[in-house]
Amino acid sequence: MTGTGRRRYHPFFALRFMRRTLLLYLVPLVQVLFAREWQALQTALAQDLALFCLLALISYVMLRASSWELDADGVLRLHWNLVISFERTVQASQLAAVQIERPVAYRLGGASRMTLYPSLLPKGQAVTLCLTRRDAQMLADRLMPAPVEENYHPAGGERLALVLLGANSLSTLLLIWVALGQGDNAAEQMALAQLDQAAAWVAHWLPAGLAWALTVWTILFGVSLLRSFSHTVRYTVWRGNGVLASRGGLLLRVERRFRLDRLTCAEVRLSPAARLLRCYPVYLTAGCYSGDDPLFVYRAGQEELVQRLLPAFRLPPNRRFTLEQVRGRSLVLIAPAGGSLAFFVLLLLVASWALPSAMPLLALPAAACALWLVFEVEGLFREGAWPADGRLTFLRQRRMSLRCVCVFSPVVCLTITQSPWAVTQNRANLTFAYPGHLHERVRSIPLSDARACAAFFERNDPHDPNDSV
Amino acid sequence: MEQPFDLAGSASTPTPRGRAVLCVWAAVPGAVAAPFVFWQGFGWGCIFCALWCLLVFGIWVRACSLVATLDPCTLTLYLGVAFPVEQVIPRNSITSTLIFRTPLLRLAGACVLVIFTPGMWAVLPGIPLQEADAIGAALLADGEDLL
Repeated sequence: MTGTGRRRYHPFFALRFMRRTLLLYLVPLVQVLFAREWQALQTALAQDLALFCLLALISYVMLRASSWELDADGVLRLHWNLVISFERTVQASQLAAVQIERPVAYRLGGASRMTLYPSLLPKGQAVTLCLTRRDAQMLADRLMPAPVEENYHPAGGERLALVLLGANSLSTLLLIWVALGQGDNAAEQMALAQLDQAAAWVAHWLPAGLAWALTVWTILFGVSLLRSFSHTVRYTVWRGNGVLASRGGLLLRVERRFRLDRLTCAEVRLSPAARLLRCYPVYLTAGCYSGDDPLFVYRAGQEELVQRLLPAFRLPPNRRFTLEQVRGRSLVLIAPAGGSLAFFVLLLLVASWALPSAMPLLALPAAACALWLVFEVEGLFREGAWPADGRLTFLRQRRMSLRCVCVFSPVVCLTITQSPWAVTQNRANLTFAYPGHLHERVRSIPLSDARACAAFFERNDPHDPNDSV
Repeated sequence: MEQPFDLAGSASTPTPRGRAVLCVWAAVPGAVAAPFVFWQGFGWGCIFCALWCLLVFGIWVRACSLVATLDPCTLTLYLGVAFPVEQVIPRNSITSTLIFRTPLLRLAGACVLVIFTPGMWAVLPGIPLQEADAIGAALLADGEDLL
C-alpha cells in the first residue's frame, strides 16, 4: 500500500470555523439597540463586514495550515503547521467505526464529513474531518475496506418509519382540531363562569395552551420521524472483509463501516411500534461510536439474516413470566411511570371539577403514562443479565423500549452495586462499562445472576483471537 | 531479607497506616473550612465538625473494606459495608496503571494505584508499594497481547 502524500481539507473545513463564530456578528449590533439610528446601523454593518473579512482570512490561513496524509503503514496523520506544528496520528487498526455523512449542502459543494471512531478512546475524542467526496471514499476504503460479500436491502425500516409517520400525521391533525376548539370553549367558559381575573386568565389559556403544547410536541416528533424515514430511503447493508457497512438516506446520505472485531455490543430494541409491525431495529455500539440510528431492521422470521450479518449475536434467553422474578425486586423500576401517572390522574381529578374542558387534553398524557407503566411492569419481570452461548447478554427496559443486548467486547468491565435494602433481598444493580466510557445498567437483578456474569469473565477468557464476531 | 509479594491466592488491602493517610487527606478540607464555619456561629461549627468527622469515618470504613484480588482472568475489587460494590475488571482490558506516592504515603510505606481501562478507571488507595508494583506488572504483562 502506498501513502497518499499530504492533502488539504475541503474548503467546507473553513466554513465549520466560520459557523462557530456567527454569534460574534451580533456584538456590533448591540449598540444599534441603544442608539436606534440609521447611522449606528451603518456603522455596525461596516464593523460586521470588517469582522467577516478578518474571520474569512483566519479561516483561509487555517485551511492552508492544516493537512492530512495516510502513510504506507495505514497510519493517518493530521498536521497543523503554522507558528507551532503538531501532528495527530490515528492507526487504522485501532479504528472501531468510520462514518461518512453528506448533507445536501455538502453534496452541492462536493464535500463529505468523515468521522473516525477509535476503539479505546472516549466519545469526545472521535476525529471529524471535512474532505472532498473522492478523498473521503478513498480514505474509508483504505482505513476500513469493505468489499461486498453479503448484501441486504432492508425493507422493514421504510415500512416502520412510514407507519409511524402516518400515525403521527393523524394524531397531529386531531390535536390541531382539539386545540382550535379549546380556544373557543375556554373563552365561552370564561364569560359564563365570571371568575376573578387571574382565574379567568388561567381558565382561558390553560386548556388552549396545553392543546397547543401537545400539538407542537407531536409536530416535532413528526419532524424527527420524517428525518428517520429519509434515512431509510435507498438503504443497503453489506458485510465483507470483517467489516459491516451500511449506506443510505435521502437528504442526508450516511455511510457507516464497523470493524466486526471491534464491536462492543449489538442490541435489538423492541419498541411498541416495532412489536406491532414485527420489524425489529438492530443498533450497534463500537468503540466510542454509539449511534441513535439502527444499522438495519429485520422482520420477524428473518432471524437467519441477523445471524448472517452478525454471526456471534445471541438474544438473551426468553424466560416465562413468573412471580418469582419480581419477588424482592425494587419498585424504583416503575417509579418514573408510576409517579407520572399518579400526577396526571391527580390533575384529572382536579380538572374534573375545576376545569372540565381540560380533561380530554390531560387524559392523553395520562393514557401515555399508563402505557409507559405497562412497559415498565414488563421490565420489572424481564430485565436481567445472563451469559448465553458464550456471550454476555442482558435485557434492559428504557422508556417504552425493551433492549435485548449482546456484548461482544472482551474489554467490558462490570460493577455490582447493592443498597442495604438490596442486600436483604439478594439483589444488585449490574453496570456494564464499555470502551468509550459508555455505561449501561441493569437494575435490581438477582445477585446470583450478577455473580454469574462476573464469573463469566473469571471462568473464560472472552478474548479468544480465534473467536471472530 | 524482604519477601517478594506473592500474587497467587493473595488479596491486597490498604495498610492501617495507608488508611490513616487517607483519613488525613479527607480531614484536611474540613480543617481548612472549619474556622470559617465557626465564624458563622459556634453551633454551626460544631455541626459541621460532627458531619465532617462522620464523613472521615465513612472513608475509613470504606478503606477498611477494600479488598483487591487478582484471578487468572480478572482483577476484582470489593469495597463498602452498607453499600457493597464489586468491580470485575478483565485483566486484558487494562490499558495502563499509575502509581503515585506523596511524602505522607512514603512515610506510611504505601501508595495509590490507579487502574485505567477503556471504559472506566479504578483506584486502590493506601496499598503497600510492593503489592502495587507486583499487581501493576502482572496486569500490564497480560495486556501486551491485547488489541
